[in-house]
Amino acid sequence: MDKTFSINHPLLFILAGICVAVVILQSVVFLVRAWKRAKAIGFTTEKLKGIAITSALFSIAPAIAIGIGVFTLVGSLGLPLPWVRLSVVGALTYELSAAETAAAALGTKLGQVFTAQQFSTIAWTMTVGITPGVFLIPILCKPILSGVSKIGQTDKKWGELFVNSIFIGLVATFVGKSLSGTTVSTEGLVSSLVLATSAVFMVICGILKKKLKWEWLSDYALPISMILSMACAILYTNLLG
Amino acid sequence: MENKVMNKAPLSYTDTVHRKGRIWFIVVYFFIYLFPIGVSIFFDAWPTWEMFFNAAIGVVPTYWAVSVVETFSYLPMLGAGGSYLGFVTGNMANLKVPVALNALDSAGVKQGTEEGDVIATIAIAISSIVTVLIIILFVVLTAPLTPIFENPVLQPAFENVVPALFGGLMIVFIAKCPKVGVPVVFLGALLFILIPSLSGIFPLLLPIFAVLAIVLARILYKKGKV
Repeated sequence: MDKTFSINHPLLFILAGICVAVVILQSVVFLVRAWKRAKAIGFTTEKLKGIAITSALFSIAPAIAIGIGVFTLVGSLGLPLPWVRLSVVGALTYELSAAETAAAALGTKLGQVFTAQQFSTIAWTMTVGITPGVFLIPILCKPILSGVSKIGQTDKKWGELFVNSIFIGLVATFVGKSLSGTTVSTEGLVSSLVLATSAVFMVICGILKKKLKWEWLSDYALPISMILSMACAILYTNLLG
Repeated sequence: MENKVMNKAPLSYTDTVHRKGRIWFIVVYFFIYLFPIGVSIFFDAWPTWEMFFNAAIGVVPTYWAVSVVETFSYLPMLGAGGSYLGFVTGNMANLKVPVALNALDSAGVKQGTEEGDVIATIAIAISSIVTVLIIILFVVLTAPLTPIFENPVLQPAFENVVPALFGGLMIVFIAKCPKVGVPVVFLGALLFILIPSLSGIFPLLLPIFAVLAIVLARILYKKGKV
């Protein structure tokens, strides 16, 4: 296999594919076991099929939104890394900010050509960031669910507010960063315009959802705003030279 | 010896879920790291400690904190089987939790019972499989297009993926919690516009803004204003 690095090197597809296959296998194993157990404790096949179909249908829209998320990262990180990171544990907000932060620390940014070492550092950072979610479950799952640990019974409203606050901190940082070049360069001005455009599209989606009762728009509002404002970036760059 | 084995009580369904769940987590943990390890070995491109530390300092503390809170919040809703599965495929708030709650509701069972556990596990397993397969479909459809993405005309779009995400996300979080969102985001915007060079050290500012938002939220929460 050619050892010349590329963000879409076949080896990366193989590594991502193996990881995704393991996750599908885990889901199938758990599904078969739970299905058998459900029948043993009295659920009918019809009832279980109904639950399976509803769950599958419910998952289609958010899954398409995640697929679009992969698409938005292809130009900067290639296809395999966003594929594996958004299929296993990750979510677009986290993965994109982790990648941009890592790239900045390496003196580059998303959209530039990466060396193998820069790319591997970005992949390591994205992976290490999601690690606690993976190791906390085997340690805490049994104690919390068996009631041995009372630590899970935290104030729910504060818990939600705490997580939202962390995200607000994240948003404040990246909004600030996106605006930092407004008065410095054309690129900076384009970045600010893209930020504003995305915000406007998001507001429009919110209004459409409310006025026309398009509940389905909830899942797509963010990816739609992203794709449209990214397209506008091309327009702004051409207009501003 | 034989007696001891004979007398050992058989593991309950829940016990076996925990045992197998833990084994699967170790397996998945290994495979999650396979990607960066594979890249580093194959291309002989290990990050230096300095590179890694500089890259990780901004996001790691922030995201580890989110992970801990999410674990405590979602675990009781998903049950044992659902948690061992759901936390691997992610997208908890927007996908796994609603799917599980919906299935529990339609089956007329409660979480915390064995019935609730198996139903949540079935719902989350189906949801995980559907999600992963749809993403694979996107990857298969996108793969032939990858050379097009390298076209210089499209580069401004990919260079601006960060503002494109955070413009929309800013609206989402300001709408969720305006009393915390508006002042903190405004401060962030103002600081960076006045001192553009801050963008060079933004990873360091990330935990600072997060702490600032948490402190403000805590003050407002204690006063009953959020």
